Amino acid sequence: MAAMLACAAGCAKKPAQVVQAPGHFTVDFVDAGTEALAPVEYTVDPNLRGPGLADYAVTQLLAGPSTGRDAVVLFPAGTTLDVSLQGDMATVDLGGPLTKSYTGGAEDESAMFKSLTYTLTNVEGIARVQVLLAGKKRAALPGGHMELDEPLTRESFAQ
Amino acid sequence: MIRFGAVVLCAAMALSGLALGVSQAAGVLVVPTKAKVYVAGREVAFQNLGIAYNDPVAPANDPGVRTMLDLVQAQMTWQPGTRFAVVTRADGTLITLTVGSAALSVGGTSVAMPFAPFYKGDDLYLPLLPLGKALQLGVRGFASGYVFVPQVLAVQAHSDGQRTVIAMTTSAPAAYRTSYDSHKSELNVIFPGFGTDALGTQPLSGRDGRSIKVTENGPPGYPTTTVTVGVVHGVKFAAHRASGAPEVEAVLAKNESALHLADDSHAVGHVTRTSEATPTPEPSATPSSRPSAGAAPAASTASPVTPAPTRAPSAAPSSAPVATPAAAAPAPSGSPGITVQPEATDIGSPSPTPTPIQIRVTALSVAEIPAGGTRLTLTMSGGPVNFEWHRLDDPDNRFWLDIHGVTLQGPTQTLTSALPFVKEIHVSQFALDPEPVVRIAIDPTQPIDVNIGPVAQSANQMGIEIERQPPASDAPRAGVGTVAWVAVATPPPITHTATQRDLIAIDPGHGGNDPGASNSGYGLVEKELTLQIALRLKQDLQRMGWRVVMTRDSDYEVGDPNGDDHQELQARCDVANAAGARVFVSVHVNSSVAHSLNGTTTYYWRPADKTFAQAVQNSVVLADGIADDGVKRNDFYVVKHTDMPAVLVETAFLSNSADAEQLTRPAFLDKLAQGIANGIMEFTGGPNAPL
Repeated sequence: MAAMLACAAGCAKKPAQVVQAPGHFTVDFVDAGTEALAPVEYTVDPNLRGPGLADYAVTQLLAGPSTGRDAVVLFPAGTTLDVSLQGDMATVDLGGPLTKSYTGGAEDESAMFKSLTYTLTNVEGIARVQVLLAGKKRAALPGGHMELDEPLTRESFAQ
Repeated sequence: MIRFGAVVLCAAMALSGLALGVSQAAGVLVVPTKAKVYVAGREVAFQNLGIAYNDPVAPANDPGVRTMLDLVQAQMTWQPGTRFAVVTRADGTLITLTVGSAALSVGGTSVAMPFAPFYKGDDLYLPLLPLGKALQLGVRGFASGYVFVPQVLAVQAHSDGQRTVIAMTTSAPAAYRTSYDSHKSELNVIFPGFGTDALGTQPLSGRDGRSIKVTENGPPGYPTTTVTVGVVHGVKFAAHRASGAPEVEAVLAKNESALHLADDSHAVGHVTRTSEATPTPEPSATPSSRPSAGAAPAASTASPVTPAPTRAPSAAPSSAPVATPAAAAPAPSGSPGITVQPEATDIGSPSPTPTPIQIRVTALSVAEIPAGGTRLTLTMSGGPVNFEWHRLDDPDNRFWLDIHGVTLQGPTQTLTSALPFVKEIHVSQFALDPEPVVRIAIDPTQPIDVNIGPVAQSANQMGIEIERQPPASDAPRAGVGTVAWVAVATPPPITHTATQRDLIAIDPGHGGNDPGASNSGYGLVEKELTLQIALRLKQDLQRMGWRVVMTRDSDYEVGDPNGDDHQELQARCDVANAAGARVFVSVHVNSSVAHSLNGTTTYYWRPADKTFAQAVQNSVVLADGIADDGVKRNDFYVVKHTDMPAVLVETAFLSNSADAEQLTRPAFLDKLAQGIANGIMEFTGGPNAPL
């Protein structure tokens, strides 16, 4: 009964973190038609974990899905993502055209950071993602909508 | 400052009064009277109203005197045994009445009276007619009573080249309303219940207006004074209460900035219009104006109508008295010229209080009364409410009731189902500025009697009972009253720190060197669309009686043009926070690389703002007719860093060909704006609803 009450108070809405099986890692792309997350599972070296796994994840995210899925890469060409981990937070230094201006819609922007946040929080122990623009903490992308000067979590996004 | 001065003055007088023997006038004969006294349209109940020297007198501490002063927002300081009573008028002027002196002092000027205030026992009797005149009220007597009518004292215009200010000085703070006649290019400032001696027409110098005409209509006991200003085409105008004095100002100017709106942020009922617009759906509220019954959809079965009650509330339960405008109030005999008979319901308080202006009509129902007749029941979100009624003589017999400080939740309704004695009942939002007024217009099939009061055993339900009544030629044709309930609903708590209940912050997304999204195929740029929608929204809101603050009103960066994005987004929030806006709406146009995505989404951040987001989403989708993508919670900067309920509306996808096609049409932008405005109204309850 107590568990049910607790769930009614909000746990059902909390985005679940996928428990990655050893040797497997999920990258959350964005579906081209709906902008919903499009998870694609990769087989990785079971010894790859921590910063190495995070670096692998963002590299795959920028490269796009290797399968035939109809998923899109929302980060524009020329984007770089340098990841470091500390505690439960991944810090992503974003480089490239997005640091100059963002001229997409709020929907794409949200989906873009959602896929980044979901993908990095698939790394065991990571719950938050702090985005930096060209090495600096900024309020938002130039022309953007989302607040970036605080860490993003799965709860930051449209549910 | 003035009030402090009055207290000091009185304290000094109290000392001097100690030595006074009060027996010197003890011989004055005071004959008790049942004459009725009306002040500002209300009957005032006295405990010891009497006649002395053929004029009405009452003790200084009589509840009737207190009520009389309350109604014109004046205050009296008097201590038993002292020689002086000092009244501070609404405009700060001191009126001093002195025992034994047949002259009172008004602002230091001596004004003769027929006789002096006098003591009888411990009571200081004051002559009421000179007091009323000193309060700048029109004093009009009839055989069975006395009527004190607030006045529009003076209408004066001055122009400084940039703007023309028409100052309308009143003897008491006025509940005025405005209307604009687009055909005649005339602004009407209407003062119900106010008389005037400033009748006439005067030319208006300067380039903003043509003329000022002052007229008085209606019965002498409850007249309506209208100040009609001929406005030059294209001039912007606003009307508001002046601060610090009972005065209403109409301001005309070629440029909106010259209206000095920023300086008037304290003003109540501020509304800005341009004389090109045609914002007035109904004529002004003169008694001869016919309610536009056919204008609204027949909606007797529309959603706000609740199931009809099956039991009559025993028309006028003693615990819930009902005003009976047409029958219970006898006309003053022998004075056919006076037709006012303001009969207020007894709300258990000696001094009627102004209607709190935060109440909504949440439901309407209409039912047949088993004993014969029709009852319209209005469910209110709170109370008490003040109303004003008028009727036309046989054979017209129309009756209308204006409920002040109340907004109608839902559309205008015309109830036409077969009901006893009624052809049609039209319920509409008659006015929104300077205060909301719901008008109930009854078109009867024959002469009727209308009872108005609380419905028994039901909190916040107001019953309007229509019964058959033979016409009486001397029955009153207008009056006012109050309906109160024991239980008053409390509005839902709002946890934000908005301070200006009638102020909306609009944030047109992007701007300047930040174009937002674009679709070159359709020539669409987000920053241009957001501004176009926002400017339409501003106009819509102003028509509804809101004041509006914009984060930008042209194509520029908000805040420092060389600042970073933090300054840019925070500057938008700062505009709304600094102004204390009631709600914040950021207007955007969506885009996606997924070109199939289309529709409207409203974003919020704080869970408490979801209701606001849903209200806006619902009404925008209803208005724009495109896909409903629902409300979404998202980490958007401007809805996180504003101090009031805040939403970001992504109106449509410019990346989707169907939505983009729509976005090229001005009529579609109109619909988006109207949808957002309606959502704001739905969530807030209107510009006068409480925070």
